[in-house]
Amino acid sequence: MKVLIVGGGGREHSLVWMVNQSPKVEMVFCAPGNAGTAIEGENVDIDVEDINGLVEFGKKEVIGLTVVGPEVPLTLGIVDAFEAAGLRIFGASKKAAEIEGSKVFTKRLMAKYNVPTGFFEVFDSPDDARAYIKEVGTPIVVKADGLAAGKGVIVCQTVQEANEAVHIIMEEKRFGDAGDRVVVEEFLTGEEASFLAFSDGKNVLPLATSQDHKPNLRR
Amino acid sequence: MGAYSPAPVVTKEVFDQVMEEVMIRTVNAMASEGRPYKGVLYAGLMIEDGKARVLEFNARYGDPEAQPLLVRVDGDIVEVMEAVVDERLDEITLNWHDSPSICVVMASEGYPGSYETGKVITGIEEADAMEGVKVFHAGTALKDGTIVTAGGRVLGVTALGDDIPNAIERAYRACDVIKWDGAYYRRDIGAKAIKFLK
Repeated sequence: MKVLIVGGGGREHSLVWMVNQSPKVEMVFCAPGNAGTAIEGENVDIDVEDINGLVEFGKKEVIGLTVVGPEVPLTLGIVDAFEAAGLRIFGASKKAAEIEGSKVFTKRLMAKYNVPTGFFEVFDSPDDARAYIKEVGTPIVVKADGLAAGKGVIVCQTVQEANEAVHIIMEEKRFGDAGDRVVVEEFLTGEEASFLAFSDGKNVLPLATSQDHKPNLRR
Repeated sequence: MGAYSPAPVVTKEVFDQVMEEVMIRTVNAMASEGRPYKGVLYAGLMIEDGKARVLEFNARYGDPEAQPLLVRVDGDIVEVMEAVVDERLDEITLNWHDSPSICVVMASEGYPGSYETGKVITGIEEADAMEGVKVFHAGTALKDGTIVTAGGRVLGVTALGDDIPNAIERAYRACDVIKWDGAYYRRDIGAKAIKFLK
């Protein structure tokens, strides 16, 4: 079977390396890849956001399984497009990727189904957000609703910082449409950990636990 | 930057709570909302007094967490991912190596701000040959047959060890033989895990 890994970072190189160890796999492509994936597999010069280009490549090469690394193609609907073309792909559908693509969606989902998380409110007006911040005080976290390359979460120690965060996200629009709405959320303390699990829509298979060490400690 | 596995802060009790109250509950919630979740679900957690709460979800493998996680897989990851696609994950068991792992990200000086690229990297082969070590590339490119830097996060130097201190030592020994002009990495990856174990 031929496998295509979508992405070009360390995550994708580790997927290429891992997938290559499977006796079922005869060839691994990586789009766009890096030097490591070129050495262990074959790079394909297609951008991760060029969904049509990736689908065409998948059809041409008769790819048996595509694995998506980064979030942006997932939120753009790469999984839906591959499935519509009859290609097997591992990743969240566009509607499922909302769990990463919209913080408003996810906080509301957690509230509705009683998944433990910090208290929050959603705002589409900067003035309302600032009024709420004044009421609840700090420390507090201001999050842009949409994807912002990991920069849309601002931890604020003072009301002034929180008001500035609202300004940057909603008025200055530093993250574009991602800042049409904000979540103002409880600042949680403790120790961070990552918990990953496979799911097929019904069953849940946990991976081993892990912990990320961020470039800095603010989030 | 970096990551390690396992996370000692996730005790058996925390693990059980997260499976029940976060992972299974969220997968069921997504199904109820007409958005069945297939793939890898990543919960970013904050754990305090033995209870986990969710900071965020990601719809994918984490980066760099994928590196220390995948080197610990004792089996065929393709079979697992195919079972996800075919909706028969209940038929699958996934084994893990007991050895803990750590990934140290070597970055370009200046990252996450501005940085230079195109610097020739040496020592990767030597590092890769060390016991328990695997060097994963991130922002790298091949230029006339030489490996050069092409991004902010350049390499994920990953090591398995007999225990966490051993994995840390192996990873840093590997980092120390990899060179380019402007290489930068944190020296304290895994220190939190050791602190927790004490």
